[in-house]
Amino acid sequence: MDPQVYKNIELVQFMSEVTGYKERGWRFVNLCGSSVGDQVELLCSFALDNQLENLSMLVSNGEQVPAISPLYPSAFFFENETRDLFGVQFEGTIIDFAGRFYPTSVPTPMNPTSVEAEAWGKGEEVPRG
Amino acid sequence: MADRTVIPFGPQHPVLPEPVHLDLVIEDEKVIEAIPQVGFIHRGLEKLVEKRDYKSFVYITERICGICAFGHSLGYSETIEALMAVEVPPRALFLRVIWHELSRIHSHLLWMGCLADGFGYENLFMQCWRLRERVLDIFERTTGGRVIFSAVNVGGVNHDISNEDLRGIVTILEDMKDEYQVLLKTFLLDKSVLSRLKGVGVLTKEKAVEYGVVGPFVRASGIPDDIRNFGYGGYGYLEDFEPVVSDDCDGHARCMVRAREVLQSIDIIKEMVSKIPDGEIMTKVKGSPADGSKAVSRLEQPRGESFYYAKGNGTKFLERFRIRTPTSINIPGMVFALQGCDLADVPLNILTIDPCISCTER
Repeated sequence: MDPQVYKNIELVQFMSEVTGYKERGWRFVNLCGSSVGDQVELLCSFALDNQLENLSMLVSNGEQVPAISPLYPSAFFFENETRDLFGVQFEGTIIDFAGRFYPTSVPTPMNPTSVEAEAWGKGEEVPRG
Repeated sequence: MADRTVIPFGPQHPVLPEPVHLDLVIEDEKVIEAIPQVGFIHRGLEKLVEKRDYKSFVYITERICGICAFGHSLGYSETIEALMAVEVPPRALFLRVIWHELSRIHSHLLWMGCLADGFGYENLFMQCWRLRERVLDIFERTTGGRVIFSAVNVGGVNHDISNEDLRGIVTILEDMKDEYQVLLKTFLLDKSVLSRLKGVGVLTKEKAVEYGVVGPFVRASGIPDDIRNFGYGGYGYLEDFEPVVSDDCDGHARCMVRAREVLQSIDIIKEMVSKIPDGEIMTKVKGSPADGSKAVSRLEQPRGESFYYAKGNGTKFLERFRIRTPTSINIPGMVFALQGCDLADVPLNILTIDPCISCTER
């Protein structure tokens, strides 16, 4: 079983933490979002051999998150995905699909403040724009 | 400087079993740049975790992909077991490894067939898929399903395999091994195979590290990254495990790694069958994941490392479930490996990373 290591950080610490992992030779594993109240919790994971560590931070709607894809090119996929599903805005993504990575039927369906996502959760008809 | 042309490639293409689109920037028949586009089959399966309780969601994870079905249900179950501190009975751990390695054999044989078909070696394609049928027959006999098995659940496995049937599986695999050696020789030494794959789609060790690629893709670039090496689940009972690695870094190296992994998987199954203990196959799991609980786990799928993340909220529905599949992290490396290759080599180059877009988009 993988070690369960989570580091709670602030958004301003994000780039310095990621740069630290890069300098120490860790590889990028995953970036994803989840809901916490009306904020999005970003989870960013890195691995070195059998070690696995996860950075966790809260992002409010409209906050800009620095992109890590200039450091870890494979992260561009996940930055575009998190933008489309959660509405998190990344600044400096190396291949930016500008919100057209996943063609979703409603905008940002996994954002906690999304009206459409809330309607879907209640089993109501989802308003389509 | 020659004129540059942009050629759209996919999402429908004869060699691509799954939809991925690339804009290929071409100069004198050489690829200068490739810009990927996915999103044609995004189904939002991760969101469905809000509507299915954590025990029945295992059946959704199996349906993420028809080839990695068993692996995804295993990865999901292991994550929930970590989330709820569930101890899995040893016999179930052994059975999980046996089915997982059978899945690897069927996935690699399917891929080898697709590759042979890609370079026009129809007979080789048919021989690979003929052998793969025997593995599917084993699945059918032991689980009742050939693609979706419903064999794993949180806490253990749903079906047992008798010790007699396990010995029968080893006999089938031993017979298969002799026939497979002939195919292996063709993939490794045949002139027509070498002419299409040798020196094509090179991804050096340095670039493999930079792009963070996983699975046979990274092992073919000389890096022995394999999650099975860390002894998770039943893999901890293996006497010795050495990842299959090649330093050649090209398309043929990726073919060689997968081809040899088939033999390695047969050996793992034999060892597991010889050591499997008797006993229970399922631990009863009660309650729901605690509010705010989190767990991550990794698994070596046939295509490479998969990452799973689950978050509880105190109810029987999870707050979040996430799968990061091998292809989603291999796409940037694939795009790099395409740079500088001939236009005619693009399809085979893409095939050599064994992309699975169903998993990637979920």
